[in-house]
Amino acid sequence: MNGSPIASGAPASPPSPEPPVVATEHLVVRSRERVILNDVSLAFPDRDVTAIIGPSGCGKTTFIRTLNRMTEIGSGLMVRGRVLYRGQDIYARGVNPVIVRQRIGMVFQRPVVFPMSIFENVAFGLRINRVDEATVERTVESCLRRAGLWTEIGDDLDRSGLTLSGGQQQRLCIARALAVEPRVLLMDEPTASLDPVAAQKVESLLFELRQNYAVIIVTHNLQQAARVATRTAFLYEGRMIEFDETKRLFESPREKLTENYVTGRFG
Amino acid sequence: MREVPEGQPIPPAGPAPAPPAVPFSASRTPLVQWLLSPIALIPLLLVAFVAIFLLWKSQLVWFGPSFFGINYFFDPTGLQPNQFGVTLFVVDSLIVALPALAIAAGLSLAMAVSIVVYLPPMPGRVLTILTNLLAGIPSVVYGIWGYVVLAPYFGSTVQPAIFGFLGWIPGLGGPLSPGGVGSLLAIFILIFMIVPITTAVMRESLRSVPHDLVEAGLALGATQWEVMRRIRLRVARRGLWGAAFLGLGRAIGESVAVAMVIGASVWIPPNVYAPSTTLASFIFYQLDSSFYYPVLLQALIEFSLVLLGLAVLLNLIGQRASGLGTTVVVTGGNGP
Amino acid sequence: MTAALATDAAAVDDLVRASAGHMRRRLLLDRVARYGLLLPFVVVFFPLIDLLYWISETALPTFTWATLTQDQIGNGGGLHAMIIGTAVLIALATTIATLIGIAAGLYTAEYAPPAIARLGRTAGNVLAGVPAIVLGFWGYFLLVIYTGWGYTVLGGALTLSILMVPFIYRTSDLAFSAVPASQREAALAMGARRYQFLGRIALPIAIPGILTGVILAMAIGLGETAPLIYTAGWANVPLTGLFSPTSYLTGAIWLFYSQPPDIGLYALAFQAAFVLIVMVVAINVTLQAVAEHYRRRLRGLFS
Repeated sequence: MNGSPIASGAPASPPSPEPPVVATEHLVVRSRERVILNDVSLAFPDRDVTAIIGPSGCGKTTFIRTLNRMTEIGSGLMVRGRVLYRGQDIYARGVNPVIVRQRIGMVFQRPVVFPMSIFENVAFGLRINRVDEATVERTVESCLRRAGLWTEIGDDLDRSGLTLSGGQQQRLCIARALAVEPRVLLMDEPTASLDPVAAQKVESLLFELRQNYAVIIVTHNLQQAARVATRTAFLYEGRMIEFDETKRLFESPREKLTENYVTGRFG
Repeated sequence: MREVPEGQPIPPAGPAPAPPAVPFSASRTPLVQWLLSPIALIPLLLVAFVAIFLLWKSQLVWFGPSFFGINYFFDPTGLQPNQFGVTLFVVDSLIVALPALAIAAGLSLAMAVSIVVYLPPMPGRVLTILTNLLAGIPSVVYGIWGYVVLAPYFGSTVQPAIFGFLGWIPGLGGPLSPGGVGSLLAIFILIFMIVPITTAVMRESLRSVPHDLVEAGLALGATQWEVMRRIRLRVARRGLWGAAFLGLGRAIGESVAVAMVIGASVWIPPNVYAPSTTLASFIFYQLDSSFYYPVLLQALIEFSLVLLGLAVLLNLIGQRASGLGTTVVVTGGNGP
Repeated sequence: MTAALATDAAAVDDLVRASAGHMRRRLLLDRVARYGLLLPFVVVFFPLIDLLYWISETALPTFTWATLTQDQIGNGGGLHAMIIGTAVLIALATTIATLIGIAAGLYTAEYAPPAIARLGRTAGNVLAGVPAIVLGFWGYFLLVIYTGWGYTVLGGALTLSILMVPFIYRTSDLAFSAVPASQREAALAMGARRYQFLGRIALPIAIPGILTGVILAMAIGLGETAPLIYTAGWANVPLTGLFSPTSYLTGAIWLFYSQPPDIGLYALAFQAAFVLIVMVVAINVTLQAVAEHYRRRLRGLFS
């Protein structure tokens, strides 16, 4: 237990070449009935993929949603502690969640495609920002390319987005999130509702995205975490148990709980 | 629960009891249930009965010579040929109902958006209950309020004001109606009668937009207003139109309150200030005299059929579009 | 590491000061919508308050005990006959409509073949949209002329009940359909007959929902004028039986509203409106309380 990151005040982070772009400090999230997250301090480096793992109900989805203030929407959750984006507390007075969410994008577990054409789906975030038409077209194309969709559907952008397959829909959602030019991309189990082939495509996309974005991915799939993430955090019952480089966390965890979890004894 | 003695195996099941499948009539429907099914069709039978009875009664004149014309001429002495053009009344009804609906729909949409999107649950619920209270006020009370309080005020202040600002719009030009009674007042009164139903249906339509879509929009950094305009309105579009049709049906069918404030001139009014009439209000205040003039009575029966047809049509369109019935008013206030 | 978290000046500028002009406009528009959309509530409720205030103000100064206990005589008198008439009409109509509505709703939810159920539900909504004046006209022909009854309380109540049926029917249907399947399975697993299940378990669960429909139907029935004028007729004295004509509060408003303000009948119209609103509110509050009582017993059944 010695040197457990829970005990230390500073946000825990394994050595990283880049300064953290998002960090939490003593984050406590509670509903009216119970504490969902208890004193979680984590720091996420820029241009890299970080995974958050843990058994169902450990609070990982709530955690990732607090990172761009999605918890505020009709959930009645109370957030204490600080969430820092480049050092600025996003829950501070005067910070508007709308701006936070433009910098910190999110992709959900089930693909949520708007009932519009593929083009308009990707252009959504641009339209609300009154971007001129030429830029919209250019950005839609580049985002679809980055999401690996351009070669598949680039010639048929007026189709309803709802006609795409599940995997394509999820990549469309990623393209749509990229179009707003976020620094950080939060992904809440992005492959959980996809078939293995589609999931594989999304995963390989993550390797591309890490060049330019800080990606934080919540997953219950340990192999996925091992494949895509440079660092992994293990959450259990609302507490951050261990945060380390993925390889070390899986191969020589410091905590007994982590070991039990990654070796499949529970969860 | 059957008692099973300790240590004994549960006795083998006898003849299998009827499966407690959730709907009893899932697969095969017993004959008896088909025979009893008119119980469920009582409303349908009632509507059909009303329609058939009126049709039967109307056979004498049966859409007389100029029924679909725009003429109205009634000579109580019966010496001259009578003419009853239903078109006149339908046009007059629409002149009153459409503006009332347009304003009511706008107000309702704003209130529904406020309650669903912006207001916290508690004030939202209180405002919902208050909106339903509007529906509970008898239409004849709106009528007397309109006739006694609003009419003089409309004549002295509202009409000149609207004329002054918007008089250049066709239909809003003079001459004014000094007493205040007329289409404009009827429109104003109708708004209060339409608002509860359109608000309730619009509220439920907006509420039924999947939360996923809203969240995804917000996660892209859109404001609530942008999500509202670009996603919620688009998804709920059908339901919102449905609300409008239900409201229009309500506006066309209202008789007493309109009869009290519209001034009962049978013509196509030159502007919204002038006294006018509607199909429903005409039937209502002419019933009395029709007892003495069989030709008028026959005309009124036919008018009723047209009114019934219009109301049923608007209602069916409204329900089909919104997927919600009129009963949404009932459940709206008490839902979660 | 902590040093790296030192506030990035660019980030503060970015998140707090919303630098871009367009962003400021977007946020402003959202705020304008948030507060601006409250305006329609004022537009709608201010006149409502004015209406209620004005009715009370006009009705109350001359409102005495006699207003409730006297019959209308000549140019004055009270609302005695009309209150009795309204009460009897609404009681009869509610009884008829509730019996028919619950039976039809129960049948639709529990027994009807799906096609019939669908048809019944659509027809219920359609009937709710049939203009009252059309029903009144029809009632006049059928219940006044064709039956040879003349103007009667019964004819008025029957016409009124047709107007009220669809609301009770649709809410009963919804309420019975909403009885959790687990309750049904548990009851049937104990060997209960279907009618036992319906009577002992489903009905108590459905009662709050049904009552909501009854409340709405009664509010609508109380407020109707058009279907009564030509079926229940008018009488200055209290009704003597089911087949006598009667007066009622909404009729008083319709008949007296255009009288000159200086005679008693004019005030009577407002007093009728006042009593009517009080009745609507009283029925609402009472039945809501009953519904709430049943609902409380069911707490925890619906998650």
